Amino acid sequence: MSGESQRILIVDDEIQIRRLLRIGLEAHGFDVLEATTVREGIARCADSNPDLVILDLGLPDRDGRDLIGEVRAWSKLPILVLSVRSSEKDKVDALDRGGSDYVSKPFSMAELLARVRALLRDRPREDDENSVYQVGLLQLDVPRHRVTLDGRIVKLSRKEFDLLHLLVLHAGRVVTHKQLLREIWGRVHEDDTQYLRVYVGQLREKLGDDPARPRFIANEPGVGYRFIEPD
Amino acid sequence: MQARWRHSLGPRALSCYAEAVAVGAAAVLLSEALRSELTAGNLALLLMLAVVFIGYRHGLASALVTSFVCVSGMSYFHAPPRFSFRVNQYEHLVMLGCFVLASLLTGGLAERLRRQLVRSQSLADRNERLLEVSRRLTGGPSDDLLASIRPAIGEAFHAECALLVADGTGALEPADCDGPQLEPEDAAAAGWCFTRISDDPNLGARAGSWMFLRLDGQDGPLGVLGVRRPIEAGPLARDQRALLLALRDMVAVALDRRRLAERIRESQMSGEREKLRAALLSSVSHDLRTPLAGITGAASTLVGLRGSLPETAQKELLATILSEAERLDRFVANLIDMTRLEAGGPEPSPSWSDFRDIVADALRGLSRVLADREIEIDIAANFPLLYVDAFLLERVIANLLDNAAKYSERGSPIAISAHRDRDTAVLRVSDRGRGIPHDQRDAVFTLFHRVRDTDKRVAGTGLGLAICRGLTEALRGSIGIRDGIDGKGTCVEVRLPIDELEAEVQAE
Repeated sequence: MSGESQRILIVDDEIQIRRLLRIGLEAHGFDVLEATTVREGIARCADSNPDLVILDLGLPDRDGRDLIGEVRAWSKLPILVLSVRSSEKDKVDALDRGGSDYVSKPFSMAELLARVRALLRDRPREDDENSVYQVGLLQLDVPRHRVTLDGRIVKLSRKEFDLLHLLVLHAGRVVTHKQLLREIWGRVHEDDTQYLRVYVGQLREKLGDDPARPRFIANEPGVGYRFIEPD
Repeated sequence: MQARWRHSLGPRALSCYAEAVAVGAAAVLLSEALRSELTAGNLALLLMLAVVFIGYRHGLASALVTSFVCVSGMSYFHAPPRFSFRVNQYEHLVMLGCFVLASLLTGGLAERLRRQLVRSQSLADRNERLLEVSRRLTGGPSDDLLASIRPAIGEAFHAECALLVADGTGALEPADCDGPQLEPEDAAAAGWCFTRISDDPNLGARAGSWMFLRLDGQDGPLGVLGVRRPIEAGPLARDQRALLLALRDMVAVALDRRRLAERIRESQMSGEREKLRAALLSSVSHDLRTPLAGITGAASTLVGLRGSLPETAQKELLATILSEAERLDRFVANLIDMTRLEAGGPEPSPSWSDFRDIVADALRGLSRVLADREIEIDIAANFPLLYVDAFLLERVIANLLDNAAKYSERGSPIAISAHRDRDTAVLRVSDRGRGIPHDQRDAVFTLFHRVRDTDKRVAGTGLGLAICRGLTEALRGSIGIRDGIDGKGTCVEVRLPIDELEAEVQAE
């Protein structure tokens, strides 16, 4: 990967944002492509083969979410959504349609780069029964169904383990409420966020995580949870 | 005449006639029994007494019936030839004529007396109604009053009543929605009555159709009062007309009064709005310009003196740009919240939320503002999940934290706590600042209020607490000021209702 730099497509109609992103991304060694409309964005995705798309939802010709739908028909390439803070519904909808993660405007470059890196990392191997994950001091041993924190075993119930497993699998990326509920409790409960609140609460307590200043599991208001990757 | 005929055919009238016949017959029989004792003249007086008695009790028609019975009896028993109705003596004939005439007079007189009594009674009745209506019109809030006046008038005249009031454009609208529906031609007649140059009440309108009276206020016509009496009610009597006109004037005065009150309220409201707008403008221009000035100043310095500035100065300027931009962002968020509150408040979309998450979110947004603060977080272990709109509550907590940072010394601690008080969640944000005097603890929640008598002006919008109150109320909660940490500083307390989570989730 070191020989060739990764290519990022920015789809945004505001020149200031494009300029800012270009400066930030190029400074970190990425190649940057630009598009200003949904139509152009889809065309660049097809002909320029980017490694990642940064997509603004408010575009002049069509809804940015349309791009996600069309690109997802033929590609799994990661799409990072840029959206304003107050429109949680749009964010959740964009993620449901196949968006990979989001950053709320106004954002800091550090935050954006962390998201981009998490998305560009090798995608998690689908349902790997034999993995052992190490994130910071936390170790998750899937085959032995065991979690240790700084060498000490943390006793988790089956559902707590599944929850942590799913979050760690996507470490650094947001996992929506719906995704978590569907995977762990089943489709019937995909709107019952109270299950999540209770179990995430228990999980945090067992991991000694302070929810007000989380080290492991961060709440993404209105959207889902994110397992925090240590810097 | 209608009334008379109705009177002469009703069941009550029949019993009157029966009584008239009975009393006449009794008088004839009595006079026959006393025939040997009394002279013919006295016997005639006895019969006359019966006629006058009936005339007094039941009026002219009954008196005539009685006198007919009496005359028949007299000619049968007294006038020779006896036991025959034939009358052949001239003298007796004259007497009989006088007798009928006299009974007619007394009966008629008695009836007139009675009618006068009835009328004065109905007059008293109407005066009472007038009094009642005027009492309603002069007391109470004018909206209720206009709603109650229509049925009151209808009742007084046994009629339908419509009250149409002109709106701002001069179109007539019913004053209350329960009023009768006017046919298009009636509505047109009402409109015509309203626009006519001089008011000429068509009091003589046929019974069964609407008569309209214009309601004149001090600055021109205000509306139209319509009355429709049933066909059998006949034309309006003189006193009824006077009553109707008096009522019309009263309603007009009431309408005038209402309009004046509205005008006063409007001018007060527009005054308030003007004040609010001026305050908003000054707040917005100050709170937008201050951070913008900081950003522009820092950025232009960096652009102009890039090479010659020491690195620490450059870093400081960059930090200024960042923190001022964040401040601008918070202010814009508050402006948006305020606009939403002004437009009737945001529609909360509640979900089960962990207050710890909400605190984390608020702290994350204010990380730079709170960088040099120690934040003490004390959330009770048994503190339940809240069924709230997490975004609105986060806006409240963030504003309170921002305020706490603004109004207390740099470096002093800020505390967030949450505990359960029966079925209420008690959330507190406290600081060790100057505190808020008791007499201002309510006023701080009004828009653009800043605690006065501060020598140094603290950058604030005057929006924060007003928004907090608006949002808290949208969340079905309440907000208030208490003493801060150790009795010093300020503590803002938010109380929210706790909804119980179903037991099945709590278990396991």
